[in-house]
Amino acid sequence: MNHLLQDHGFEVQSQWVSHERIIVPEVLWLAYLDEHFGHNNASELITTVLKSATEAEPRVQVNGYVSSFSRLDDAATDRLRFKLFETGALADLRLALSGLCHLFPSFPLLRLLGNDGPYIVGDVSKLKKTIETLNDRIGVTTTYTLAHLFYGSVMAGHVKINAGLSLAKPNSILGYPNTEESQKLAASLRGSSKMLDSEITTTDRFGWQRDFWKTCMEFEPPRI
Amino acid sequence: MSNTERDTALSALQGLVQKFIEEAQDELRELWNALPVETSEKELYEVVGALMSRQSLLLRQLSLSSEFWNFDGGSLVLRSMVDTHITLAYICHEDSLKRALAFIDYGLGQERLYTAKVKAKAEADGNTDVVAELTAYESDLDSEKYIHHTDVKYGAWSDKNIKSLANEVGLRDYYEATFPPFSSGTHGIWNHLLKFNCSVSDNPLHAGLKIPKTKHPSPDVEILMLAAGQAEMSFRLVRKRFNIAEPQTSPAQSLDTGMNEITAKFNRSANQE
Repeated sequence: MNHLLQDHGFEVQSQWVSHERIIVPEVLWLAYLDEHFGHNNASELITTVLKSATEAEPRVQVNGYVSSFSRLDDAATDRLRFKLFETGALADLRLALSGLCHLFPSFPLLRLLGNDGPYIVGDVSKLKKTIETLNDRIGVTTTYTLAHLFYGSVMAGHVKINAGLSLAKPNSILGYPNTEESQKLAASLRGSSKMLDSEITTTDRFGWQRDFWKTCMEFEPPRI
Repeated sequence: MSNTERDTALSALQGLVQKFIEEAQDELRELWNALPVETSEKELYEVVGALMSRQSLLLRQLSLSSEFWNFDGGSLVLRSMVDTHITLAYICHEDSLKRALAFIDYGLGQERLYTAKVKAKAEADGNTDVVAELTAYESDLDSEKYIHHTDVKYGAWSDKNIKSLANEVGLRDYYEATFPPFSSGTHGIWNHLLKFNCSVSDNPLHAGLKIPKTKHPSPDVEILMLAAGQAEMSFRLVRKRFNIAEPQTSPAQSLDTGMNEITAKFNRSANQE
């Protein structure tokens, strides 16, 4: 693609976005929700959260990347919390994400959710298992997590899809990984996930990715 | 395989390597003695003899150090042997005496330069003992060539890089197959380190961090065979250049045969279990 654009005179700057180092910490919360509530309920909950965030502060983009919640100021965060409380989504989020809130002092949803959820022994083990699962780029869990990321942004009005693209047929994911159509969709999701919000994927402006891995290393330092 | 059988196999390997070392030394002696040394081309024979000695001694040192029988440590020796072989081939190819003289002059110039630098530092530090020692050493170097006749040359001794030398003497494929990987090992370039000096942490909390390896690789006799092959190539090249008949068999061939016998015996024992 870049070569095509360059051939037509465009100045293209490309930057490698690591799935393992950048995407995983950004979508980890979606994987937690998916695991806790199942694909369908998680999808509804994520849509509710992202739509409510847009309503709470239409001037900034809050998408499935957890760092994007840092764009909300305190007042907008209060408005979002109230909206989620009204729909009952706040309690669900606190329940499913309490582990991340306990483990990471800089977790971008901590300001929204607080740290009152139950502390579960084995949070680090669960964290490790989820990261390991997400590291499998073509795995079923990863594919559903990326679907939550992408279609959450679609539902919140941040992304439009041209008809005819694989991405325009979200239901084909149900056949993953056994149908060709679902495999095409999964590939599109993997590609799109890295381009959804370049400020987050190329600059880590809010520092979450850096803090996340720093904390992980503190849990279990890479000793030899 | 029982401990006794393993000990027997190891003992056979040690005996084979010891025999190989002795044969390789004999080969150097026999080849040197067969060279038609002429004083009119004294420097050519000195250089050829010294380069053959380098191959032979590097091979001996590697043979006796099984800790280096792996691609990581072995590449340090193998790269030097490849370098030596290409230099030898270039000198033997044409204008041999002229090239040998250039090779000597370059080396002496490097020695003069290094000595002068160390001496200047010692003088600046007022270290009179070291200055006296280096002055005496410079007098020794005068017996090779007086300082006013010695040029210090920057760059390569032949004005060409090793790749160009290899191309000129028809060793392009040999160079391409050996020099880049062994150089990566010698200089510790990332493509080498990635294979031999680090491994990805299997802890998901480490984000795919590569951590240092501490485990020493198992000995691989293939490295010894490669080194033996390098030396054999160099010796064959010298024989061809000076019209000396090839021996019936070479130390490298004997080593190969002996190694196959030990391996066959080892495999038979393993299959019987």
